[in-house]
Amino acid sequence: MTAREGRVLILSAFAALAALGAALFLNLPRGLVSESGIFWGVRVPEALTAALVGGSLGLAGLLFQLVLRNGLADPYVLGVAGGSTFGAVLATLALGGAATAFGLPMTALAAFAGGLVTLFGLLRISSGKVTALLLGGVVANTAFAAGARVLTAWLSPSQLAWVTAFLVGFIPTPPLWAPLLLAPPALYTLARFAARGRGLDLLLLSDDEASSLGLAVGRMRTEALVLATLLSASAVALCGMIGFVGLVVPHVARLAAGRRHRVLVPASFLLGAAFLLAAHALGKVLSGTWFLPVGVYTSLVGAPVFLVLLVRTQRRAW
Amino acid sequence: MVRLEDLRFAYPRGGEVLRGCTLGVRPGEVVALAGPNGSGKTTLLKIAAGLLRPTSGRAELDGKLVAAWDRVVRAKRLAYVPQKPMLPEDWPVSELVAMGDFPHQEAPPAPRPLAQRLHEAREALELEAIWDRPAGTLSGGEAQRVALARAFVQDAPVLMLDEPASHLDLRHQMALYCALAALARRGRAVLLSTHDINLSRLSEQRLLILDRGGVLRALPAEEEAQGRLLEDVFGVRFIARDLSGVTCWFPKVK
Repeated sequence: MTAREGRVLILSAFAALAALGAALFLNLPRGLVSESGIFWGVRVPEALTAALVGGSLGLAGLLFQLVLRNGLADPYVLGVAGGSTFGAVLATLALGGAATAFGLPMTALAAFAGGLVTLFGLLRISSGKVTALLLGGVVANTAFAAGARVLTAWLSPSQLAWVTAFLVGFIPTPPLWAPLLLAPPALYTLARFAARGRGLDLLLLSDDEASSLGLAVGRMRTEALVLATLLSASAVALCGMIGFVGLVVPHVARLAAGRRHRVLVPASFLLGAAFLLAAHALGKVLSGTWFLPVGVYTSLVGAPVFLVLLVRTQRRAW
Repeated sequence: MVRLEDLRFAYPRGGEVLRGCTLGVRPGEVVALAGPNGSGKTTLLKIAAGLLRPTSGRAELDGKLVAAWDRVVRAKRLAYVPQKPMLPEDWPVSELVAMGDFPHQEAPPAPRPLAQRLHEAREALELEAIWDRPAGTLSGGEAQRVALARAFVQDAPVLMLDEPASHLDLRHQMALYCALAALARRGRAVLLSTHDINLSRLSEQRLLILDRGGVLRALPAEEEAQGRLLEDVFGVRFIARDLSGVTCWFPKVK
């Protein structure tokens, strides 16, 4: 690891910790009898959720962008988030609420199935053409969002507000065990690919080159796609469709840490966590003024950042 | 070491390319394949490297089907460089060349240390001047030399190179062929494809011709028969010139 890579990892960890602190303590109502109740019952589970969901989305975005060789790929653009949302909404409406010890894993499973079917269906239809894949993803997302609303109106109109928040992406106030359910897939994927960073690097070469260097290209690619879909699905199951984290974070990580995936994998996770925690903390600070779901803030910050990145890369290409 | 037996190959929608190719490459030998465009040189190399399955026939590496080897173990024994390597633009040459060490991350470790292999590859392919440049700024020939250096660092006893000299200037063609001859003297086996039959013969490579019908033909010893074979395969008239004891063939320009 180079000195620069080490510095970026330490800085990312600090950013994540600082954002965690902000999400935990900013604007915490002081002097109330229930202060510690609010802290443990609201702040801690929300912050853990934001950290794990942000990290999962950042890492999933990195893996999607690498495997599909396209910087525009992320769970949202690929339709994976849309498919997962549809699955999650369907499961929630069928089970009558997500936040139970039984409901949440079921919702996550439905989201995973929805995401996988969408991804592999689109991969098949687009037969390797990335433009077709991305366009198909955008269309699928819109269609799934509309479908989710129709389902709600049909099955349970009283939950329309919840589904609307779900389609924008929000941080719920779950019981403390809920974010802990997110931890195993996120940490497994993190550990797995941080240790196999050199193999991920070889995916940048042609299949023949990577394969003749000893990489099981097909297996590596499928594993990355399935785990990235699992991460986005578990994020969606809890928080809905949060945009721009998976798209922007890997670009920022590459700008800061360079190109080696040994470093990009943990950096994307940490920066994703930092980004979503910061957006969540911003929401807490402004909560006296407005109450907006966190997906609004990530989009408000992420869209201009992405535009800047886009312009920069286009300039370099000219 | 490399043994191809009666290889046949047909692309699903492209018709039959190879119709019974048999070939052996022994340690210490550089074998060059020449032939018209589309005669199947790349297909043959890919099958020999285990990247493509033949429709029928056997492709063996060290006495075992090349496709049956564990991928990492095979990568320690066989390095392959495609005609057009794909190099990620923002990676510097040094790190791309070091990717050749990938199979040696798994035990057993490489017999020679990475620093030594990197140094030798850098010298042999003259990469000093571009060592820190990102791949996106390289010319076609420079990129080709980077991919070749990566295969050198892989340090496998068998090298398969698909038109390794196609983008190289004369100086680097000579440097590459000298480096390959040196590897052969150390017991390596090299199989490559080329369009420069004279340079191959002058570099003491064993030249084989793959004709349009997908059949491998050895170059006959006798000059007249050589000329007939070449004219038949390439469809042009040749004249022979003797250069330092080797008969070289040049197309007749009207």
